[in-house]
Amino acid sequence: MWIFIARRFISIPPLLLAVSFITYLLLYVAPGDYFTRLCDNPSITEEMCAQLRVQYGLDGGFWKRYAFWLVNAVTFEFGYSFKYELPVFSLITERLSNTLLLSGTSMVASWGLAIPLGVVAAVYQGKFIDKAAGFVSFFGLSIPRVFYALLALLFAAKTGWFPTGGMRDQIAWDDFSAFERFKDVAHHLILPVFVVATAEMASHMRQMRAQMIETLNKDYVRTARAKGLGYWTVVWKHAFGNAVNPLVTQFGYSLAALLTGSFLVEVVFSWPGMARLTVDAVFAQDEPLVMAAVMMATTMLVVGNLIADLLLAAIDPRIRLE
Amino acid sequence: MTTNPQPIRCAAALALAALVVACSGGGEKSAPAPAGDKASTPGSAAAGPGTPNPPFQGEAPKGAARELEAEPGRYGGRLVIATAGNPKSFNPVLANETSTTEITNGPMFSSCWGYNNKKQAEEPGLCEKYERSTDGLTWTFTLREGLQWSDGTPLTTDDFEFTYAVMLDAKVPNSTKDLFKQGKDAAGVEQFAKFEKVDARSFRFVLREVNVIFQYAVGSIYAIPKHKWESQWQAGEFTRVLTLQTPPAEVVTSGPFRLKQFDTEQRVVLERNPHYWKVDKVGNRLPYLDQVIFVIVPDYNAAFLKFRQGETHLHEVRPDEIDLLKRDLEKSDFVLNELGASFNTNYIMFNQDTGNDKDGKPFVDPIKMKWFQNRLFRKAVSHAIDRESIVRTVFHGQGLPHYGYTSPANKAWYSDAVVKYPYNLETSKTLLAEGGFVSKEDGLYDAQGNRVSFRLVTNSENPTRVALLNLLKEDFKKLGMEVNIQPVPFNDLVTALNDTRNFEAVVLGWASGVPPDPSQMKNVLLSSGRSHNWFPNQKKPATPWEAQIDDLMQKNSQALDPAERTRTYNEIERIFSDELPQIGIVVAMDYAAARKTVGNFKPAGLRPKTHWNIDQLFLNAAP
Repeated sequence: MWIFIARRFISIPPLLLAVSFITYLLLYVAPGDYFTRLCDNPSITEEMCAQLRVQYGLDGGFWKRYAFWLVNAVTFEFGYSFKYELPVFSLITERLSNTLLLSGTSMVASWGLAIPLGVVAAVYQGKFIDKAAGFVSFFGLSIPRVFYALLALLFAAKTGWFPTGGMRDQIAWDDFSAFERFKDVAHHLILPVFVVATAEMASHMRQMRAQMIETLNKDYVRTARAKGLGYWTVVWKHAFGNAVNPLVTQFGYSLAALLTGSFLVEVVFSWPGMARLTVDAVFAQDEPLVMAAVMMATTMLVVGNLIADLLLAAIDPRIRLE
Repeated sequence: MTTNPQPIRCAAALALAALVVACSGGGEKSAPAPAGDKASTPGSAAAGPGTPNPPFQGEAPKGAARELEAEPGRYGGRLVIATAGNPKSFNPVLANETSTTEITNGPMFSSCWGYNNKKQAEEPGLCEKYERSTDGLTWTFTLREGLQWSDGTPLTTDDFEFTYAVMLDAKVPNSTKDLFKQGKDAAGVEQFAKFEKVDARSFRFVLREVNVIFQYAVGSIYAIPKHKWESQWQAGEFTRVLTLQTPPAEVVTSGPFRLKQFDTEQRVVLERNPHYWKVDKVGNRLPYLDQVIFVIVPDYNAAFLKFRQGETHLHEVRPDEIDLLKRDLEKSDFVLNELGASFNTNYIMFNQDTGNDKDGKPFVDPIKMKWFQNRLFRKAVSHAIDRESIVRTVFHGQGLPHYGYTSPANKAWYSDAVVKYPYNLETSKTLLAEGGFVSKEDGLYDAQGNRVSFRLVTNSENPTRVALLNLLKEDFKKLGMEVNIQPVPFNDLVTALNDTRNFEAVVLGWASGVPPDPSQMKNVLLSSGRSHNWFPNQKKPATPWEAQIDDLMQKNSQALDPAERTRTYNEIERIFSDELPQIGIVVAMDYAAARKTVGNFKPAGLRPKTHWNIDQLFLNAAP
């Protein structure tokens, strides 16, 4: 297994290299650069624009610029964002924690709801509770995420029960005690988490239900029942462990999607996470920031997939990692 | 002025005054006399003169400026303003983007010579006066007596000398230094106005070329404290001075406020500069506000949402928001002020650049170039624009037809004596026929039998311009012109405009700098200008009228007599509207909104529209 992990890790650098090359190339061929907008201002001289482009390393050709970026990136020096004049690294770590807060909470909520609901729906197959759960999951599966988020935002604006975006109170934050801050963030978190969690819960729940129905029809379940064991004991002790197996892989993959899974919702809710940072950086052509964000997302994806594979190996003795 | 204050309020004020003295420590005398509380809400004991927190330090500077226009206000409170986008730094020397300058220039840093956005007139700043020598080449400025930085250090000529030296440093990219350029010497080295220190309170600039509005150039220097940043500049690290990471206590300012806190993408919190150099008309020290919070929002829509929800105090209203706000007005707690015509213009422009691209191909198809260079063609186009219906549909009735270059908002320089082009298709058709165009059943043709068709673009991010594009297409269709319209991303458009010059016709607009003076328009009006967009960077004027405008601009910038400046500028404006390199379309009416609690709210058309007088703003009651 260690060889497997090592091999996975060795495959990361070439992948990152390829991704960085393509991203940089796309940024390079896009018309204009970070200073295009500024330099269109009649009161900014061409001389100053040229000076700024030299200062920010935008004057060279593609290879020179890419090589410069690469050499620095290898030493984990991602430079300063053009737009924020702040180290890219500190910007990203701050935003990353905000994104993880949102997507992590959503993940816990969606899985926490999906599994028991899936089991119950399977057990009461065809009954009201199954149909209700089915309705909810079809709703979650079919509604476009952006539209769903906008609906939630409209709800917040109309009722005034929830803040319309952001992660915390921008005005009174300083005056808050630790508990009030916690409450404030939680209040801001509810709607975006609700949107992400219900949308993701749907597919998990459908899968859990299908697996459970299949398992409950297995011979060994009937045998266990025939021995006189209680129904719920059989469901949880015998059937559940086997039925949940394929979902573990899915859970691993949702780890990989932690960074990007709530992208659209973040944008709609002005959540100060990676999504808005990346989108804004792309539009502003803030090269160092775009590059670092893309690298970060790629790494998360690879590591998440690795964890998914390891989890599966740990839970299913039939799988051997070589 | 002072009404008879009720005894209870007097007592409360005295108690508060005692508190302030206790807070400021060191036995410093501080609390202002509770005079002139005319603006406070009657009947509310809590709405007395208020207590400044943080309190003022020491006495007001001996030479403090007295603000005579403003109502005496109440101390305290925090004003909340939404701002679209993070500032880039707190360094007024390096700042370019409005997201930075709206916070640094004015609220945080004062300049030597100020500008009253409402009156559109100069007014003193850190300097109490200036003198211009009769030849217009030597300008002497005198700082007020007793000025201090927000950390209590005296603010002197040395700080201006230091800041000017930084600006001229070749390693410090800034656009302010361009205002000080004085041509080149024999060796071709760029020359700048020379700074001479007279004494601790006065300095002078010596010029080589006459500049009749040099006080505005000096007014655009926002000095930074020498005692804080000299060593870092000398170490060649000026780009790391006053960044977003600088600890707030280190950000020493000269304006009404100093930095208290900054959270990336969240907010900028400013608090009172306890050493500010202004007092109100009854002698109370300014500013009134304890804190100003700039809430950072992703875009203007979010800013509008925050204002409608009552989270912010001030709002710059965009044309499409007016209807909604007017509907809210009855039941809400804000005021909506009309500011008259906006400084922002909209125009359509044809490419008249006769240059060639890298492959030797002309930028514009020579057939089309002939139309675009035809003055009668451009006049016909202007007459064909139905400006009234554009005002009705695109601007919700809130706009004025515009024909020339300068917006009517510009009090000092707008002239009504321009050539006007009322909507009249018959006139258009006559002009086209005169210009050699032939109208046939299926459209308009030129003398050589080419169908008149062109591509009209604008930046897709601006919904107003995209709407204009559609209406113009319909208008021009009535003349038999075939117009292909295309909104393109801003960066593409700018690249086409500045680099590849690959466009036929474009709808764009101008905004105004401060002050809105012809000297700021050189890049557009001079034929050698970089933003002379219909044919930029000309070696020598391509047409007689462009030569004439160049000549008039030269006269305008050197005339010592204001009347002569007005005369020359009016002539420029007339030529411009007659030749139509850029065809004015419409200027929108400008609006600004504020909560009713905001005192001394005097919005103006020039940015920052709502808070240019932030040192006088106050809050009547806690928000």
